[in-house]
Amino acid sequence: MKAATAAVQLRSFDGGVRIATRHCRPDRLAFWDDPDRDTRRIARGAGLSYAAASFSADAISTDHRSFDRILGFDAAGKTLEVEAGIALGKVYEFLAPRGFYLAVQPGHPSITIGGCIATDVHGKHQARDGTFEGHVRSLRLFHPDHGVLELSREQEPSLFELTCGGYGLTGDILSAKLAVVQLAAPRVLVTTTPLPDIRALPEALASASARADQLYSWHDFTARGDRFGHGYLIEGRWVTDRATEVHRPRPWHSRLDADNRGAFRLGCFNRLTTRPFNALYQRLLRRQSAPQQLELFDFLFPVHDKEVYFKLFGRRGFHELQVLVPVAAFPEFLQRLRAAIERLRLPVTLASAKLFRGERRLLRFTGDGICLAIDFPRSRRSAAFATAVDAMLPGLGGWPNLIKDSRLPLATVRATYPQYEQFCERLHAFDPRRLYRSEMSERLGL
Amino acid sequence: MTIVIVGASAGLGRALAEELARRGHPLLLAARDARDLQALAADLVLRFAVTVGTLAFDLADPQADWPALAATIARHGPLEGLYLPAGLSRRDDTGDLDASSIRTLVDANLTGIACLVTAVWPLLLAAPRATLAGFGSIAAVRGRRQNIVYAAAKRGLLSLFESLRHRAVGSGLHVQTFQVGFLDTQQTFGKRTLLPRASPQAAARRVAALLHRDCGTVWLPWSWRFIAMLVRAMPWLVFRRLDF
Repeated sequence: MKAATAAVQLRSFDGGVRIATRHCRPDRLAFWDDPDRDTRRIARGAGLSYAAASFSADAISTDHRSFDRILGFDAAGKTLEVEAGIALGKVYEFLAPRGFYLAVQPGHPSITIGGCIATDVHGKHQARDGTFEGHVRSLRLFHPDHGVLELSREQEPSLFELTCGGYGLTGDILSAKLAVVQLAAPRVLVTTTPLPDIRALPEALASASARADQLYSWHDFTARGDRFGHGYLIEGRWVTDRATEVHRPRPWHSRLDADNRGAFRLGCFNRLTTRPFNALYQRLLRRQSAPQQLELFDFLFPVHDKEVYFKLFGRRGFHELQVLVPVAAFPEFLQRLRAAIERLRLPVTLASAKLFRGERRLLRFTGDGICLAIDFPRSRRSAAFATAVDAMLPGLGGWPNLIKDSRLPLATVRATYPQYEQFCERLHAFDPRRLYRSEMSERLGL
Repeated sequence: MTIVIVGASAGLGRALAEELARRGHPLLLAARDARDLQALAADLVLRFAVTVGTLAFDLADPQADWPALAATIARHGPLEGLYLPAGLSRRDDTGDLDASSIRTLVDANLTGIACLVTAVWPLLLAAPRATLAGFGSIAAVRGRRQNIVYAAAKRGLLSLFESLRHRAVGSGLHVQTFQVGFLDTQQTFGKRTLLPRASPQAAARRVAALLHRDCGTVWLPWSWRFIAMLVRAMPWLVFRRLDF
């Protein structure tokens, strides 16, 4: 069955890439029976990736969001089977009242499970929970040359490994069986602790890691002098005295996508406004210094009610650089980062860090170190700054998150991902015609 | 008491299945492809803890055994409702279709529905109260150079449901006709539409809220009633110049 296609302009969420292409939105499973074998294609979920991973000028984007059904749930075996187009928010609505949740979830409820697998996302406590791949028991993958394949660590383990964190380049992920975790309580007690000196961050994260159920930090990179990078450590712990409370998630609705993110013609962030913005946010965090209870939904998806933040960057958009740096190299990285920020007078609107643990594999964003994400508006200076960060990483043993940066150059990926060639070889061995393509895959020579 | 939805695999039919399941109604879902139905049934059973059966058949099948189909439906329990948001349209339905394609369009949109309703009618009358709902289209308000056969079949469907409503007078059966404007479904995907498309979920909520109500003909969304009046009242000299 053919699905209607339409011409469309698609944008990366950060506003950096805009491409005229075609897309389709199949809604019946017969769509996979009779594929056009020569059409270049790529799967698309919520379209919230910062990099242009779900579209390309010469590939049809297949929107999976009509395939969003829950196919099976085994409370005793703690597994959930879903179609790949299902949004995290819908999974949450199903699991939470039954006393379960997904241990690893990125910050917005519209993101789809297919997107989580393809980009191997991390959650609020990567050092303890790992990345999304670790919670995928098995998946079904479609490729026009191979049909529908069942993949797991036991069945086709090599292709399973390539697909989890394969950026959608091995095929369309149709469905997945996921491990779910017993929910200790529907509420999280959030403690916000001041962190006056960012140089103490690695130690603070390491010492909080064992006791916290969720953990990250926020920093002010617009502050001057010794205050540069001061911030807060944000720890979440289950409210265990509410363990018996049945969670009834309230309805949520989001219209955030890459198009309406750029709804405002002009951006609001610049060198003048970003300092007061950070000061305001800091005041908000300071008010929360007494531990407070949050619904798990609000803690897991902190972005869902702060969507205006992304819109304030205006049509031109923003950069998010997310990098992982070994703990030993973190002070040096911070010093160089600060020098570049001050030299270019870059208005950093957000800086946030997490502790990471894991084994580096292929092009997945994991490993041991401190993960630092920073946001700043797109401008002439911002491109120079991003290039400066690219240059810092290889020497310090750090590496960037491919999905968070729509301009990341091939040279940086080659220099920072030791298994880049291996990923390419395995991908080409499985799909010699390279039918699945995105702007990101072409930019990175995948 | 079971509600049957024919055309439940996608679009308005799927949204209606979700909405009725949310309200706790046992369902029997029907469409051509059993795989779509099984996936949807699994989803609804898990999310709403309702009984959901599936039945795969094709309204356009000229060999269909309608009495046997009615007997199968009867085995799923007393019938509380029969919703028929099924339909088939083609983008090349512009006057040059071959005879077989024309027959398929008419069978899927009119003949099959008439045959099914005729076979199931006694089951609907046997219930203390029941609802039968047909789904027309804005395309049938006034014939255009697009959707030619589809619009003709949908116009026939309106007449069929007017007659059925008249026939049901005095029984516990309410016959409803929903006239559907532009919905954001596969049928309109990628098409330039003069007016915004409504969500199938919003339309489904309205349909479900009218269960067992003697509402006659209802427009989805309601504002399309006035658009339809405008299209009907438009002088030929203006209408002939429109390209939609």
